[in-house]
Amino acid sequence: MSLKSSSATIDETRPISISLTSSFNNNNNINNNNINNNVSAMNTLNDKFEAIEAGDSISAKKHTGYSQENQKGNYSGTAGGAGALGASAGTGAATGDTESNNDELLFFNYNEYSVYDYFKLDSSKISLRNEQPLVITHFPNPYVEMGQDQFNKTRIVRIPRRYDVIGDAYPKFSNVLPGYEKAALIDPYLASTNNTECLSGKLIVSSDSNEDRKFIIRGKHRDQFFGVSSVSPLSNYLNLKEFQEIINQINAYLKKIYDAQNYSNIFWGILDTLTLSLSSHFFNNVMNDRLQAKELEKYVSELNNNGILKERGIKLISPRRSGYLSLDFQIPRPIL
Amino acid sequence: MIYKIISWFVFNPQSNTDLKTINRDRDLRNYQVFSNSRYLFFFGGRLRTLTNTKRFSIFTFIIILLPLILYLIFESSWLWHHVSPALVILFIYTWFLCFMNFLMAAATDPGILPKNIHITDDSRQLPIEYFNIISLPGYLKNNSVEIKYCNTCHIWRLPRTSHCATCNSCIMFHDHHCMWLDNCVGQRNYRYFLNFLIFACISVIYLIITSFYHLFKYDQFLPIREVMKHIPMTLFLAIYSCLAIMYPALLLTCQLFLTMNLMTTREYFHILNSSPNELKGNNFISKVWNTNSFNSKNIFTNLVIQFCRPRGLSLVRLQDRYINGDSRFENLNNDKDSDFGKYQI
Repeated sequence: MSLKSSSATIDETRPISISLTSSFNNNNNINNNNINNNVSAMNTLNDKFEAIEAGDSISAKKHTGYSQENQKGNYSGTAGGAGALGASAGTGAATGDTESNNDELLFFNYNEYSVYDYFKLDSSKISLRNEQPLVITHFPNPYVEMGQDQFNKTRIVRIPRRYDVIGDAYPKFSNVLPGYEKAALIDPYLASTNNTECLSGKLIVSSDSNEDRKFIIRGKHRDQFFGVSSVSPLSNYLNLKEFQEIINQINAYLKKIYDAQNYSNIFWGILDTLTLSLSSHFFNNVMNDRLQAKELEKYVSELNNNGILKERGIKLISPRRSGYLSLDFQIPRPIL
Repeated sequence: MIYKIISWFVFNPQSNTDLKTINRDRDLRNYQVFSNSRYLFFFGGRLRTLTNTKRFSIFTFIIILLPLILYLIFESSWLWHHVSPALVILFIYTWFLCFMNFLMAAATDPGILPKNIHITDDSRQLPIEYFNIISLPGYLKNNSVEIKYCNTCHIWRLPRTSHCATCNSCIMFHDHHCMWLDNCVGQRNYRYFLNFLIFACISVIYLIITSFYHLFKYDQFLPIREVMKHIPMTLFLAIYSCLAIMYPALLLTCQLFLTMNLMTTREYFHILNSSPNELKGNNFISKVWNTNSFNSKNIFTNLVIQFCRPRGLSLVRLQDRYINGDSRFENLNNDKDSDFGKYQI
């Protein structure tokens, strides 16, 4: 089943990669990442609604199917469902796919997802089966108390973490705004056909189409406003250069905190072992990683209190508070 | 008042009596509110152990402590006077190394990740995309890194992280849950675990050598049976240490093999269960070597990375003051003790 590149409209949804047992997924060729028409997407949605009506929890159903497969150690199911555009990278061999190994994995913001049931702006009725999915790019704020004022007024935009570090030695965050990644979704009502190419089914956006990366509200879901592209409301507050400055600085601090192979680290490790782990208690504040962590905290608080973020009215949550899992920016709730 | 002092020493966040001793309006610390973990905290939140296990760590503690006591009472005076005082001091030093590493491995933070960071609006049904395994580009061109979303902790996990049901949290670089330590072995704990095994083996070998030396050199002219009647405790120590070396030595060889491949025990079992056609390599060792995409392909570099990896910062700071409504310590799942009613959109 090849991808129809010539008629690949921008209406195609993001490749949804399903790594579930085939009884759940109607498509047998799981590794065909780009869903050609909306029928298959509808089918999965049908299952979802049926399950809700039948009363059993769909999350439990999916979860057991997925975990059973994982426990069998069956690479085929999981690798066949590997996400991102063109992602097979040779791991889908067991499903009998013939994707070539030349497809490169592209990075995308895995925090976002699509919904089909939302209110369009010009109607007051919720429509369950819209054609164009709404892309959720901002999330509720877990750093303030739930149900309070601040919770309702602020939202969080998450910058994902990249894992292309050798040995996953230190955390590194993606240094482009959400919406500028290589595999980001773009708004079909804005993008002109000059700027997009369709190469064997993959959507590649050339880099000088940055002008149409704006956050434009198209629908309302669960009382919040979203657009149909991967661009988040953070683009209203920071442009790409300022953002990259902040991110590169934070990445530099993180690298210094977690760097494993310099000599002082080896020295402290050996000393720690020989002194019955007591030297790490006494010499904590002299060791490099604590000093760098304090520098990072100082930088973040300076940005929040005196710097560019305060002027724009947004806030950066300290990376340590969010566990270095994602970099969170707190923005005011987007309204019409 | 005395209950307050006791509650600094031992605190169980899940019990109601401990919670009554603290004043909820002020000076509440994070560890006192951490009731959706299974931990029991000592010394003001600095050390921890699990509450829902069969307490094997006490058994391990007794096994480690017993030879030292017997050694000090029975062996040390003979060795001090007849051979050298340095032997005794060296044994005590290696024993302390083993014991301190046991304590740090069993009672400190293995690298737990905070909960409820990546929550969504659709709280009752997660979106389909969150059930997938996502492949992202890795360091080299053909490598891929796979991440998953943890449904219990509501976070996107890091690559070699997994959720331990006994400890009820996701743990970074999760190796395995060790029942002898009553704790998981993860990124912040791994060095102590390895050192514990190494020094346990060294201490036990040391003990074997000295006890057999004592047995044979006690009195040159008596037959062995008579010697055993005179110094029965030395015989007991010799047999005890011969038995005690087997399990730690086995564990140590397994762990060193995995360390040289920069692999966790969980990944290793995954390989053992998967079908052999999917792995590259001719024999078993090269299969293990090639599977791991984080491998730096150099044994010495792998060892250095594992032993000297910085311990890292604790991601859930348990001695900080509790801020009201901190979502890391709330239970947002759909089970019976959840705070789900609070989280309404």
